Amino acid sequence: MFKKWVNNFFLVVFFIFICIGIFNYIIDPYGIYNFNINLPKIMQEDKIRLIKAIKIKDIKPASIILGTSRAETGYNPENTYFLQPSFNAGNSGASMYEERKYFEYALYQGNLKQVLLVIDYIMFDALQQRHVLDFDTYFNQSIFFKYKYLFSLKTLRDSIRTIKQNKKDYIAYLYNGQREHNYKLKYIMDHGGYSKVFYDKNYYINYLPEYKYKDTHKLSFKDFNIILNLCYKYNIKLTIIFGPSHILQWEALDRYIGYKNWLKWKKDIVLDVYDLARKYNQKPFKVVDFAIYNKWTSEKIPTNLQDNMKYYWESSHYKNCLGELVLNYLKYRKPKGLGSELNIDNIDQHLNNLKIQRKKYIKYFDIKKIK
Amino acid sequence: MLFNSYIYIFVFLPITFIIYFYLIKKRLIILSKTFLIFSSLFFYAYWNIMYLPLILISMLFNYSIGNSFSEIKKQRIKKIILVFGISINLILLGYFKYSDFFIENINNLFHVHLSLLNLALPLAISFFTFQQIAYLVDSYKGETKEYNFLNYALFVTFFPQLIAGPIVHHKEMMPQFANIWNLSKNYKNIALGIFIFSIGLFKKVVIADTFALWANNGFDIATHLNMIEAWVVSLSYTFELYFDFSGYTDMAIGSALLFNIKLPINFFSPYKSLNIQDFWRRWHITLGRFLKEYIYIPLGGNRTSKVRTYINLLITFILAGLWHGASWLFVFWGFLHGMALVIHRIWHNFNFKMNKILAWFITFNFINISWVFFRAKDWDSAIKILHGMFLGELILPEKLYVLHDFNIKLGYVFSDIQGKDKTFIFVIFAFIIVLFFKNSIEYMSSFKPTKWTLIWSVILFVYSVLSLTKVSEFIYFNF
Repeated sequence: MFKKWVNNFFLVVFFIFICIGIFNYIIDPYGIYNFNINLPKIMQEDKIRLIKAIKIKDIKPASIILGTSRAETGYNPENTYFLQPSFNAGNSGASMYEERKYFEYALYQGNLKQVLLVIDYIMFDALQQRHVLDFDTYFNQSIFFKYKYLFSLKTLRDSIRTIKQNKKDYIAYLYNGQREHNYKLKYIMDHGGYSKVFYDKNYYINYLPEYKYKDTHKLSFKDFNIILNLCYKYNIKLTIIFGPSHILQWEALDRYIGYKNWLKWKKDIVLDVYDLARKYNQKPFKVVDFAIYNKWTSEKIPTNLQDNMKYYWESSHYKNCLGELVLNYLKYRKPKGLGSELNIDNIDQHLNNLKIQRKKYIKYFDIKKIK
Repeated sequence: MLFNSYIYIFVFLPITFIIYFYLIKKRLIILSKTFLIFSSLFFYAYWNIMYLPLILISMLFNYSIGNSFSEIKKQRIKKIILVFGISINLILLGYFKYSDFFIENINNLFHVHLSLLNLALPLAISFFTFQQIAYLVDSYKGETKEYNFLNYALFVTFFPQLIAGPIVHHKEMMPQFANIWNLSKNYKNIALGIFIFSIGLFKKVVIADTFALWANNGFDIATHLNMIEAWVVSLSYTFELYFDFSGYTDMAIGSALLFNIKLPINFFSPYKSLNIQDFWRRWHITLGRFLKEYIYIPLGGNRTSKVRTYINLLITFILAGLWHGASWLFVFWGFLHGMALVIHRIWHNFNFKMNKILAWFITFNFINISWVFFRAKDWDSAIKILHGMFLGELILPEKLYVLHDFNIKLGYVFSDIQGKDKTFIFVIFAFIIVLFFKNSIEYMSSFKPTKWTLIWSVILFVYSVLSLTKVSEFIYFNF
């Protein structure tokens, strides 16, 4: 009686697992098994950190873009600025730790020569050091690694959603890791246009100015320095930029983190880069600030639903075309005024200029509404 | 190695089971036990091989001390050896677990800057130290009969109970390892083992890990919590801890049963308790037993004056708090439980009666609030949760728009803890499970090999394994 029960248990369990595994492999909701069934991978977003790790192993990039969703949205790896093949490893709300792991993994593939690190304050102050519990396992991929996701309830649900979906032409991510260029348009139109979604005054409500991951209390500058050290060690061309979010974003930041702390952070980055250059007795890595006040970053917000914005989705995320301008600036220092290269000699003056320009530019916006 | 991992479920456990019983079938009994010890050590070292020598040395040391009692006749010398043995165990535990806590307090008290040792806590050290201290005390009293090293080594290292208990007693384990009837494959035990393992896996992977998300967000990440959020956060941890630890224990009991070993019961519906004493008879039962036998009774227990009994209770529970971790928050948690037990005893002495629902309500809320200090990383986090629970802003879901006229704020209730409407449903669901359902031990004792138990076991097992991709540690691994 008990023996029969035990045998039946194993038989039924085995049968169910085999059926689920085959079903998930055929539907392939995350596009990681390369089974060519023609269904848009609408569920990629939920597993994008995993997918990006797998793609890095597949592509073995010569250049890589690191950063948060701003970097993920704004920079096209196929731009001629980047050595090819290139991959955008930016991730939504990424911590410096997470981006360090992608960098190390790309380096481990043996082909990496160039890195564009698009830093955001929230990377250094991330609410979670790892946004997914099994994140670290993504970078220790055995031959069977990706097949374990075949036997997952989440994959099964996502396979069913992939079949049931009716978004025939939907693409969330491009093969190169960048967000699809117009992915946010529908969201903005559905929510009443740019003016309705543009500014979130509570964006930084849970952040504290302390350069620590909030859940683990580990220091984020440590991960930043690991990237820098490895770039020196392996002769990688690293460029660090502060991304060109809209100037209203820094007013949201001011509410909870403080504008002064934001400027101090910029200075700390520059000092850190210079300290390390001194240690290695080498030229410091290039640091360029695009989070400044100019005609691009102060683009007017349309009030009509039908009116489009050229450079922004909302105050945090900028469009691919602004990313293209940034890459152009990094190549040719054009268009003038878009960015400002920082070094130890000009950083104080630069930060003073920002304070002055803030007052000048911000008056064009409805401050009462913002604050 | 984690019970809730592919490697344990699909590789380690089946291989160990097959080889163990194959060796027994070939009548290689000593080899089979040796194999089980090595498998257990592999299980331990899989996490971090660095601490393998520590458990080996500790095991050899305690076995030698325990064995020496049978050869020494003079009581005084035996006592000196016992004190020496216990001291070495406590020094080892103290060094790894409490050095930094001690240094931090010295630094704060005397305004000095001694460097911290930053030692990683060896896995399971609190558990195997307690088990072996109990063994030494009982050997000293002449209560141990089994002196076979293989059985002793299995008693300490047997993988199902090695990492986080139950804190087994040599009296209940070593005879089982010595019993030849336990050396043949027993399909009843295998079926029971699979059944309770599946329940435990489901408790951990599906229930505890879901609550963990809201508890972690509330305790560690959110800076502000509204009143409902704060209550949900505290309740989430209360349920997470129960389902996590009792799930672990169920899996330990299930794994051990495959090898015909019965581990002691560690949980028996603790949140149904009607008073705090009742709670400690149902929660982490083997720890309570250890505290009673090896701390409370040696202190004098209740055989002395009433005041002395109360002091003994307080000391026992403060030490219980400290056993869980080197932090004043744990000490305070232990103090709260000690005080609650003292109050309960006074109440009991006066022979007062209380309505059962009110008694449950007070007990459960006390436990829920005391867990806040148990979980919080620092005092500020604990105060943040308690402030939210009692003084936080009341925000209700927008669906309840009829309440708008009563000047109650409506909005998104769970935004700070990444919760949705299902958060509330989960809390209700957990209340129903812990209060109105039988516990896994009761289900196991009434188990029959029917198609319904088969269907339930398959559903729980398959659902849990399919949810395994987000593997997480057990809370009690940290203690």
